[in-house]
Amino acid sequence: MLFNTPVFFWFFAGFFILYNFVFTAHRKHLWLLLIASLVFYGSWNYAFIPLIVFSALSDYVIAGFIEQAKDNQTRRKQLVTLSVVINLSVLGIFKYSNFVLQSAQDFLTVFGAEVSLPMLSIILPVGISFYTFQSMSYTIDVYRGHMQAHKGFTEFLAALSFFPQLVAGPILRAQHILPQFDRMPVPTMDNVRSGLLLVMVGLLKKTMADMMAGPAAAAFDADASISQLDAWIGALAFTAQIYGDFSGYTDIAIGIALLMGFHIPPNFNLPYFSTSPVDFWRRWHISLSSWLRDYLYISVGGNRNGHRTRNVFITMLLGGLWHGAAWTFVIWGAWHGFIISVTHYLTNSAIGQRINHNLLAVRLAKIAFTFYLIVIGWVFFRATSLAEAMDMLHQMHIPSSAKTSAGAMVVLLLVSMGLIAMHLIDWLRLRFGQAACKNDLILWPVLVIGFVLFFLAGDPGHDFIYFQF
Amino acid sequence: MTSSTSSSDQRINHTHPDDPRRNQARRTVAVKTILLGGSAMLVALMIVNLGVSLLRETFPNPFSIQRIETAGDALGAALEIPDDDPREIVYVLGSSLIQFGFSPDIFDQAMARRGTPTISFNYGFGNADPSIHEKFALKLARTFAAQPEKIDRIIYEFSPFQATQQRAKSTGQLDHAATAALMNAEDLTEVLLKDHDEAIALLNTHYLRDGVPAEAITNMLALPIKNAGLVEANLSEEAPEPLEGRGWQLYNQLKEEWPQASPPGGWIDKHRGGLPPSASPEAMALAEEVMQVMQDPYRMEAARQQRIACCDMLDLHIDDQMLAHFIQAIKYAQSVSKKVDLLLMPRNQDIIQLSEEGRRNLQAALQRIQKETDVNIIDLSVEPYFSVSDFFDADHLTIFKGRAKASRLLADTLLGKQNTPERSDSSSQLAAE
Repeated sequence: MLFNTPVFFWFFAGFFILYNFVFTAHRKHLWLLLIASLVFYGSWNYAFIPLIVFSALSDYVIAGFIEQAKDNQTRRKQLVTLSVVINLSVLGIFKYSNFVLQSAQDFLTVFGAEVSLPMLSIILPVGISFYTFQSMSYTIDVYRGHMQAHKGFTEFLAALSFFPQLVAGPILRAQHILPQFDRMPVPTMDNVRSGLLLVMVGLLKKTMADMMAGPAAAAFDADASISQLDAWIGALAFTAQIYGDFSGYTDIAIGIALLMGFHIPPNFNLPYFSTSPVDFWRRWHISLSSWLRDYLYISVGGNRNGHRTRNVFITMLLGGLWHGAAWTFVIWGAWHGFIISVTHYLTNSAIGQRINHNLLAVRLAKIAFTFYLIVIGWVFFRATSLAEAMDMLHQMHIPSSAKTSAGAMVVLLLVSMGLIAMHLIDWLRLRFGQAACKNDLILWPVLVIGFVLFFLAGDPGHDFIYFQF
Repeated sequence: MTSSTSSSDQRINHTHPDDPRRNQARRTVAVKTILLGGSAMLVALMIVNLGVSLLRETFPNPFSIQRIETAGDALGAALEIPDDDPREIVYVLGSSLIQFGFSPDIFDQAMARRGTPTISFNYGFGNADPSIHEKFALKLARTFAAQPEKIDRIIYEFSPFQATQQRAKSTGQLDHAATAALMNAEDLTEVLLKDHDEAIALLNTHYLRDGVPAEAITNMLALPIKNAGLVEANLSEEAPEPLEGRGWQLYNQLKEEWPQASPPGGWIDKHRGGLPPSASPEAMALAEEVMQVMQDPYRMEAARQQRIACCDMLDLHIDDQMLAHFIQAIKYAQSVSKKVDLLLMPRNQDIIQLSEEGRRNLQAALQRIQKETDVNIIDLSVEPYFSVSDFFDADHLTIFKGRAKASRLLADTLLGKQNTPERSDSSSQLAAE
């Protein structure tokens, strides 16, 4: 049930009527929201519902025990370890088991051992990485004393399975979302206006992302070698696609939550305007990068113990692996670990200190170079194998004899326009969105124009890329 | 109308969760949400649907779906014919080669002259792959399920390049729209059981979007870019003679002379799905002029390359699944007609010359169709010779001369009186008939 499909529209319309006009008691609202979330999740595969209930139940129970063991630090540690082990085991079984088996088989083959390890017949549950991390952070927060264990399981399960953010984030912190489920907020008209604007913007970005899928596939899935220009078009198209796809989904999620009065923090902030890879991770998938910082980077030592580079690499490698069970994602993570470490080094170096970072030319150069580094990373992310990624990078950087496809310049122009348009829409929303939301006479035509564009071009044919994570 | 948010809006969230005022506030906000968001969506949808209807009225079949929809709605045309009507009922189904290259009026005249009166119908439609033809034929079978002997003959045109592996890569663009256009309650129930997302999308397209989903609009907008991308950049430097608006001039002239053909691309009752057989001498002369410009070697070469790139038109590597869809379409046709023939339309042999492999692949495909359906094959693809002057692009017959020639030739062939004129004067001879 994708957000940009009619089935979701009617699902949400039905839910909205029941939520606001039929059910009145606070508990009924909570139950309705929980049931709607499970139906939404079940629309992919009802067999996955017990898994999310299990994740929630185990962390809910463990957090309760952690709180009970107030003065017994050893027991608290054992319990939080148990929670982490359970969550990572669920993730490991459903997401990484075949990757590990396949890698082991490949590894043995390299050494001449022709073995055929049995692969497991497992379907990856949608959004498992998101809700596992979310659930796990709850027990860690209780263990760290950042919050108290929650009393009600219904609220906890409803928060974990909250349908706007269930399958592709943002990854919410229990501290932030659980209090909202305790009081089941009433939306204000400001929430509604911002929510509608976000939904419209998200639908538009998702539509543009779908349009970029074709040129990206044409380059990445090409049977023969392609020209340098075609390779760059493919890489840029995917750069635009993944941004529009993921940030568009997030916008819709935040917008829908706002229509119910729930606040979800932003997940993107014009990431391709980043001035460095470090800055990029402050603007891209903010909920994941802050999760990794708080629960992984700091746990392995952070900046403190003189192993910052090592800790950055560990964090980014695991962050890469979080995205998918393939070596291309590991390399993507390693690439980001590498460029972040180089950024740290350069920033602290004598040259870095001497540069006036406020100069416009310097800022533009930094944005352009960071963008280039990010595009290189996306090649690993999109490619289906390391060989394909290396091939693509080779074609992007070394001119070949392959003929440029006819109409390439037109496609390049369209891809560039798409990339700019997505950021322009975001920039306009950030710059003028609040003002527009103060006046319905401004907001309404903006919504109409946005929805017209969506109805003209919206294509429900492509899944959100981040569902697979 | 300015923002109504006030501190009282915020304060409601500080009340007890079961405070009745919260429900009142929630309802008020929900009503405003529906008014603001719902009205914006509704107005946007109305604007889009209005634009879509304007395009449908102005351009010929802009979304490639209109013809499928209107021809599908007219599939029961033969049911209107009294049982005691002595004429044979002939349904001609197929691609745009039939839509623009077969005239029921000319065919029926030719048949009547030779003593076999017929009433024929043109159910050709373009831009569709065999999976859509299968859906179309299923609808035909359902339409005549109660009277399976009503149709005397179905001639099903097979365009091999539409069933190639290359063509299969770009199928699906019209799938949803065509399904929405051709579905009935039974189809919908079947889809609902398998995929409720798709069923609701189909209902949405059918009832809220005037049959034109966003993907059809996107497809229309993207088509020129796609086509540009398909043609090799190595065409001769010599630019073709420009049309200079003559195409539109012809279009507008015919629109005026054929008011019944509006909106263009739809189903014309009077001519049983085909275009009117003739027009005023001025329009005919203008058409001839336009066709000659279209036959410019540069344009023909571009059309050839586009067909090769999109559909593997020379080597014809046939896709098994696509062929299976086509075979199923024939089987549906066989379930409701006394006789079914498979037709290969005349090929623009000056432009499209099959490779040795292409000939073998075509032969293999025909053998498989024949083996699985025992259908009779009418092959007009090679003999008699159709020259480039009979076509306005790589494969479509010109709307007057080429269409008339092919329609008469089909009649001749069916009656076993096929003549095989010499290559040099074939077109003038037949067109003058």
